[in-house]
Amino acid sequence: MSSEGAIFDLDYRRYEGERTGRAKVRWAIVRDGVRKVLGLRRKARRKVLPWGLIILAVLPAIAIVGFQVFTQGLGADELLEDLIPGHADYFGFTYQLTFLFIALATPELLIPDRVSNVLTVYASRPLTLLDYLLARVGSLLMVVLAFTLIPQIVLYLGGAVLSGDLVGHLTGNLDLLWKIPTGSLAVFATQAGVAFIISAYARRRGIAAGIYIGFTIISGGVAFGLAETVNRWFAIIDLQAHASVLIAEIFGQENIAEGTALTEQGISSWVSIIAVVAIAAAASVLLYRRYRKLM
Amino acid sequence: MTTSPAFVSNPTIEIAEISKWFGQKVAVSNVSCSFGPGITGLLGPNGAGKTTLLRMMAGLIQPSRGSLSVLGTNPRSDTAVFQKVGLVPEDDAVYGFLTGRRFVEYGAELAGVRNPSSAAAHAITAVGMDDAAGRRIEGYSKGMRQRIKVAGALVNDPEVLYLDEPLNGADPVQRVRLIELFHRLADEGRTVVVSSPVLEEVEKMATRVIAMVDGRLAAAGDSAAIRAAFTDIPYRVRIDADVPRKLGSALLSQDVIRSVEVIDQTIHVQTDDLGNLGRMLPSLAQSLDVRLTLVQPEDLSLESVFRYLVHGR
Amino acid sequence: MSFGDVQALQDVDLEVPAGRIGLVGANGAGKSTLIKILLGMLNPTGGATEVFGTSAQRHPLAVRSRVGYMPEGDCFPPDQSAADFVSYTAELGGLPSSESRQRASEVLTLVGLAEERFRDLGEFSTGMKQRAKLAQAIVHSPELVLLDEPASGLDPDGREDMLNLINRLGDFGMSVVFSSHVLGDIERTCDWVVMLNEGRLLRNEPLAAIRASNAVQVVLLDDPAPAVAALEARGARVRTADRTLDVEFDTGDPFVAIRDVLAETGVGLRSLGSKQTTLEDVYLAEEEYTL
Repeated sequence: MSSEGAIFDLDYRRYEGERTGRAKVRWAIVRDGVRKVLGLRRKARRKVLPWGLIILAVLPAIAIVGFQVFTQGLGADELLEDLIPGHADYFGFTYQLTFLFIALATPELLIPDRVSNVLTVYASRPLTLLDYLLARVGSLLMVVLAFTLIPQIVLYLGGAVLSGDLVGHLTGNLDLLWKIPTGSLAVFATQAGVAFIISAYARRRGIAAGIYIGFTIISGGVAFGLAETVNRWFAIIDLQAHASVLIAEIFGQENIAEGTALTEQGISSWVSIIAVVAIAAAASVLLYRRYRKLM
Repeated sequence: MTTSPAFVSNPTIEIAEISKWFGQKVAVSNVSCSFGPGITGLLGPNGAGKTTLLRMMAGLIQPSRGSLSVLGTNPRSDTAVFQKVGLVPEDDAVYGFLTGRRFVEYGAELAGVRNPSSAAAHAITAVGMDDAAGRRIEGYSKGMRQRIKVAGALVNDPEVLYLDEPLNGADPVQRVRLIELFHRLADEGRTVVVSSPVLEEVEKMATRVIAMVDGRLAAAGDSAAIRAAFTDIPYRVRIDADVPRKLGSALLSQDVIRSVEVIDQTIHVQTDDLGNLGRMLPSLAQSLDVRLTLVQPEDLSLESVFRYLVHGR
Repeated sequence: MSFGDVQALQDVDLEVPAGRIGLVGANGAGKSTLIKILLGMLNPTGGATEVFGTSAQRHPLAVRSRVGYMPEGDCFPPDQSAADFVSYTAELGGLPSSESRQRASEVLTLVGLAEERFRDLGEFSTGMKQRAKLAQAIVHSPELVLLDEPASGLDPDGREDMLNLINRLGDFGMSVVFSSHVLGDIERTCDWVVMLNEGRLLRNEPLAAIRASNAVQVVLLDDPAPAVAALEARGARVRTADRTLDVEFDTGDPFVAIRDVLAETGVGLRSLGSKQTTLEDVYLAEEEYTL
């Protein structure tokens, strides 16, 4: 019997396997964006704000539905029904939170990469500028959609269980299947556009968030004031109002948009649709051109 | 009486038992040495304390213990001494929005130079930045920034000049010019202290070096003499020959040779006495009819000396 | 690879074989511009570039999947661990995520960051950051690595380690373009040299070709005069600077002649060898030429 020995080279291994396509690379950037936004794989305190907001958005829906389900048949149903918000109303609640979330998340997605010059690393990899930007927007979209959709789904299913007639409820409310995602998308488009533009230029995350929040709040008041005193068309400056209008339009519930400058001035919801599309388009172009110069 | 090579006979800068600590971290520990006219290299690994020492010598920070005098006064308390000292720091001070010329002129004005614009012009020419002086510093390449910083330090005609990595980023020609400039300044009687991790460059500039390791003074003096001071480490010499084994075995029979190693056409020799080897080698080779194509001491360079200082072997 | 003429570069036209290639020149000579063109980050105003036969202008992504880049400045997110980030860059380079983690670990160990790899990049020292930059440049197994001033900011030990690593890259089957203004580093590691000067090409040839010269350089221990006289008597041309002689013979074996002269005159020998033209000599000669 012979004795053998061998030494294995622990040095660098060449990778001879398959290379993934661009789609996988984009997906890797999206995943990275989601981690940045939710504070995953980072220090614990980075998770507090995003998850706090998420819980705040989702918990009420769960609480309400849970409460309803448990107290079913106890005779308080009619009472509770008045207290239960409908889908459109809940949207009105969540988009305040998504506004905050987007204010905090967008700078996280764009600014550190730029300021720490990580863009150089991206530039040397097989991906285009468009891949990077789309992936970043995509990350935010994914998280915000989850944010808005989950409570809606909870309400939806809850309503189905409560009505006692699952199939009936589900088939009877099929229109919600397009209304909910469209609503989420509309909210995202209104709120993210300006946030991305600000984060494309600001150098500090706190400042970007502050500017975005300040701008939105002030523009609301300014829009209202100017619309009353100078010209009704000034109402279109109020971005949050457009979101409300669109939700109201999609769900056919006018009370959501009540009190906003737009409705006060009687401006058609078509204007909102156009405004939102215009903002999204302008934001995309500005974002691309700003980064084109950098990379 | 012999003085240690850490000290010079006509010092402009005297350092006695200087220590500096930042909280728990001891950056400089009990260093005593002096500097005089000419160029002295300050060497050490990153974190050895060189920059801290330079800063104390420039009066920017206060030693925790010990005393320091530059041109006879304490640089920390006597601000007038700044007029005679120039510092070229390694980090980039933020002056991006100024043009090179204005930066140097401000430096001249701050130092109280009599004719700031002409002093500035002289300094700018000395470093070869005439063409670029009108442009803003933020547009400069790294090498250009270094040169304008040197100009800024020269503008008050300093008697003492501290250079922290002055050749960083300079192109080959600029490097040669700057080294010539530093030699000129030293020949004029100035005290120039240069700190740099690129030992080949320090070798070209300074014959006298002060080496620091972990905040302490590890070696001082002429680099060849420092090498010789490692008496327990024999010199290594490489010899390329056509019949290496014949020469190698002959060498081995010489007392002055400690060891011989033959690899292909190369003989690696260890000896305590380079002079002895150098004198007997040609005749030995001739008598054996061996052709020598290369004879090279392998560990005389500052890099080797440095390695022995830091790693002990 | 062949290059063409460009903005900050003019009429740079060359082909370079695989191996360890030094890219030398001052800051502003065009090195970084050239590297960016190779990566398809910049488009030349004229001419074309091919890397491994693929156009860098038309197919930059194909080029980049085979090329690694170690940039000069900072490029790390401070709040991510080295292992995490390098693994991410591997995925960006086209590796499946299952492989990425493993390779990131291996590569970080290779560059000497085995113990620190789970610490945040923001805590790394300059030397550690340089190694991590090298790690991310090679993690996706490129065939060519572009290193922009890899030893910048490193102390002598760190420099030495980095240069050794660069030397080993060739053993791993990678070609290297080593861009630096420190000529000594290039002379120690590269086989081929591309020398740029103010945007124009000075030389593009094997290092050995540049260094070769007919002269033999001899450094003596004692007064050189007897040796010089004897050498000239044998027909040599000798240039003397202190105790350093540059000796040139038109015919015959210079080494044997020198050996014999030293043996006969008894002058001590410090060092002896073919005079190697240094890269610095080339630049200085060029400077004198243009003046």
